[in-house]
Amino acid sequence: MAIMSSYRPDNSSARYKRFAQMAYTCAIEPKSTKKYDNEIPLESLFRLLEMYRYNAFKDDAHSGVLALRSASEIRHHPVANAWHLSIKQALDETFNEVFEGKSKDEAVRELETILYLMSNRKQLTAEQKDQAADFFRLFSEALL
Amino acid sequence: MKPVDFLINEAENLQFVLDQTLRYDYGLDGSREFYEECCARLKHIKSELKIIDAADVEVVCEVAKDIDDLSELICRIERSSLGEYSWPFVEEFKEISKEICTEIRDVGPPRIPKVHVIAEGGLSSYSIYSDPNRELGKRRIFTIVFPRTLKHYVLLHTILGHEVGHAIYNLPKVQGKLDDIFLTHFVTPNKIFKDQKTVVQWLYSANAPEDVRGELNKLEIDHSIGSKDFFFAFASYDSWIQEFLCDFIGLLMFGPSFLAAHTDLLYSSDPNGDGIHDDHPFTALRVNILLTAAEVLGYDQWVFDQRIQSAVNDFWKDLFAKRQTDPWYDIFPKSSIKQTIEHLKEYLATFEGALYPKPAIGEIEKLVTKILDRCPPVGYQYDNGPQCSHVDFRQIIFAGWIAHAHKSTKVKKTKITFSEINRLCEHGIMQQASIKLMLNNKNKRTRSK
Repeated sequence: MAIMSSYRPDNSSARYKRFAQMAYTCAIEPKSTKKYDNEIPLESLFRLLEMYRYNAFKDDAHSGVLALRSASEIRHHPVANAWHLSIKQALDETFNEVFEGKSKDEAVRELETILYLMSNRKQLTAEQKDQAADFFRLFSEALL
Repeated sequence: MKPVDFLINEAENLQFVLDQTLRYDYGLDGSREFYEECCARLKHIKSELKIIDAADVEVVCEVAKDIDDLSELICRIERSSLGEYSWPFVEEFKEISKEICTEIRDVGPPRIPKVHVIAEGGLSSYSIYSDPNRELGKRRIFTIVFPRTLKHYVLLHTILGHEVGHAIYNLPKVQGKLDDIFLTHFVTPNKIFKDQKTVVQWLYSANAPEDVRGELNKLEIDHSIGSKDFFFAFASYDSWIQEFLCDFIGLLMFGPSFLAAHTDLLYSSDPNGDGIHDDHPFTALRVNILLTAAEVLGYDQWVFDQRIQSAVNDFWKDLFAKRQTDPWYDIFPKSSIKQTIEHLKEYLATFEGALYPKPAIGEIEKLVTKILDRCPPVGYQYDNGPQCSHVDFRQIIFAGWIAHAHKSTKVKKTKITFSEINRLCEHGIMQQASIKLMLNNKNKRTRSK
């Protein structure tokens, strides 16, 4: 048996909260953040938006086609599929508030464009800057 | 040492290992891009460690896990330099998977994943791991794993078609589309698999095979897991559904060869097909579904010339003999399998090279004849001078399976073992890659004139 457990509970909500706070700072004070430090958090948020857009939250590593674990080799932690529920709810609420009246596709696309521009150190328009600031502030507040 | 100081030190160790192992090019694909991706991930971890609140236990644990994950990744990439896998197969496999594995986004350029390949011990190592969407990274990394002992067994490597299914299922856009097709045509209309409750009723029904009831009983006695918490404490319903889906994808990508590899490999560790597994549904059920799918696709109706027709008949006879006859396993009607296959086929056809093409007339016959003559099966013949032609590597593999079913490979005088057939096919794939290069260059020269 290994000396320590490799299993750790999912902590995605707290992580996205931190990343949303970083994105908020990046939107309102772009010069205060260095590109490299934000690139991975921004890409993570982009991937989250893609999962949200296509309702594709099944994101667990699977075992190989022949890794047939039987009843005698039972794991102590069955695959959890609920990691996204609170995050999805926070996204629903934030999108409704910031992109009111827009379709889900349209709103996600606009926000993804903002993330792409931020990630490439491109200037945001005043409207995009406000949207980004509002969205990421409210999203981070809505997450536990 | 305080926990955060320990992690800072470990991040430095990781930087050292990274520089030592991946900074310089090695292997077929070079390591520069892997190095850059790992550097970006490590740089993020280091910047997190700079601002971390040592009292925030959750974040400290999270960063510790990120360091562990990156460390494992770097060591896996390092091991891929050993090259103990069939690289001719891998190169062709990458070619047919390239488009389907590329993430197309509405904003920004397409995201092409980086692929690395390693060999591991044990048959169960066959897999393709894709970075989950929650993994920290700029670029997605796929890890293809082959069993070390089956290095040259290209006929069995077709099982990786199933694994491509899992890898692309991680791409949100693809997952959304596949879920839409699969739930609409396969899962929701099914009386048993429509939800967890009905699956459990079926599993614990009185007419379940005796061995199944015995295993369920063992689960209850050894682990106190019964019908009420089967899908909570032991198995994953979503994983079972995903396994069915990936079987269909494998079949559509590799054709009859996938079915042959699937049944040989799965039954090797679960001979009756009735073992209960947490992430995988019954082998017998999966095989029955795939055999019906092959019939729906008309694979077993393909006609070949008399040189190989009896071998083809034997190939299918062997496969259909693996159908589990207990009616308890027949829960998916042919009409549902047909509809599912048609929609999946239509979707996969949008990705160049992904679908298994029907062999051209006479193509398989020529390749099988070469194998029986102990020559690598390739698109080459000497007929008033050398004649070269394109051959999809999947046809070389299918020819390998038919040669294996051919009676002449079983008799003492002309015997060719399964291992030898695999080696011949692997050489055929490698030589065919050269033929492809030559033909493509020839076409370029003709066009430039």
